[in-house]
Amino acid sequence: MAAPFESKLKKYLKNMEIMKTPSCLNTDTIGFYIENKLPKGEKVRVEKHISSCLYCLNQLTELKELIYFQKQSAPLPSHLLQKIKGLFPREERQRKEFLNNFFSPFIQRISDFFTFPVRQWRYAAVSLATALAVILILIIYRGVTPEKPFEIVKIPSEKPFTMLSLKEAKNPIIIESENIDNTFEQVRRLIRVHNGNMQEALWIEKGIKLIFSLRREEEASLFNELNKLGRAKIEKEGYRDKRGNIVVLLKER
Amino acid sequence: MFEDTLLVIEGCVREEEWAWNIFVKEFGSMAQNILRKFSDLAPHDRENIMQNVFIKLFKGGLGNFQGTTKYEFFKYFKTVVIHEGISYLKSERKDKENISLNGVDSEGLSLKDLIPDQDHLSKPDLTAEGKEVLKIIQKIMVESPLLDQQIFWMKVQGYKDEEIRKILGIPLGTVASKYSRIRMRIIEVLGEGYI
Repeated sequence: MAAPFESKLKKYLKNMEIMKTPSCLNTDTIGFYIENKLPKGEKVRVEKHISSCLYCLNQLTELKELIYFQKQSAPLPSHLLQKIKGLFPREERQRKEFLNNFFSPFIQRISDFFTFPVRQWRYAAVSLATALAVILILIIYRGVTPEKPFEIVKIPSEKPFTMLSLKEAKNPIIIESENIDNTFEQVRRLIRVHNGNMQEALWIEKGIKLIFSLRREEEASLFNELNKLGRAKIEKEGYRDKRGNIVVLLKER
Repeated sequence: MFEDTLLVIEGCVREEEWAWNIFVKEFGSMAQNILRKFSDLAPHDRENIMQNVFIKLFKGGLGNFQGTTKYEFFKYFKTVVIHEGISYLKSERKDKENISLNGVDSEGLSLKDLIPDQDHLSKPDLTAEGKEVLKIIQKIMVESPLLDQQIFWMKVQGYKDEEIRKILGIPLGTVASKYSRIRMRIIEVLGEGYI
């Protein structure tokens, strides 16, 4: 049996909370005090408080014991250790991992979709901007520099001249002139003046074939100009090819 | 003992097996030490309580911890151990005739001593009386060095001399002599019949 003094005192110790005051120390401060982690001045202040406060003395002895237990590791009986370790839910975890593995590709794709702009689209944006800049520079360059003379490639052919016209357009415009080179330059200039766009110019047997695009409202005006160049044969229709371009044959007279 | 207690706790909350294994090893030892000092627990009781403690901690108990230092966690852990111990004793009460939760005092420290006293709710005069006695003891103890106070306090709570010697790191003879000095002084001031 415990001595009457101790057993009577124990009764009062159950309600130590009633001794707590606003100036009482917190757990961390007491812990740091025990492990000598407080500055000297703070340590003196803490010690002074604990010496005059039963509540904090109680906290001190409790924490001191726990820190002692922390340092004095006593191995558990192996059967108990296995039992407690066995509480870890392996099956549940495996199931979770299986579900994660099953769904992760989809989740990854969704994640990639939302994170792609941040991670990758910046490269795409930079590439696009570079390409646009190059195109812009080319446009400006072409705008300020004079158009180079259209190079004409001579294609030797033994086929009669008329065969070509039938093949590309039903009724190509035929212009006969004495100086085909001059006529070609004049036609090319007229096409440009009427906002046409030269698509093709080829030397063919006994002449030059020209293919160019032109808006229909410009046709009459251009044809009028062509008539002035020499003997021009312009039918009412059939001078456009399948793509809608006008086909002209320059023929040496 | 591992250094970063909170890191391991976080790992346990994330259900990482490595963390759980370390936690069980280290805090299993601590739980065993906490429960070992209670004389009213048989070895198989301790094992059952320990299992209940770890089940509780694994199923949300660790996640509910709000502290930021290991000291706070130590106290939290002890609270869980004591709470589970008391719950276990209450559940086993009908089967164990020898356990008295409110009856005869036993030698040393017993878990039933830690069951919160309901008297202070129904009988506030007892609380006032207890507070008065504790204040007098506090006044007497202020005169003694802090080490002497710790010895006295642990002895009153039921710690054995050997346990006090180990925890405070002092010679065994010092425990008895210092305790005796403060005890005599208190009895002198209060009188044998007061407490």
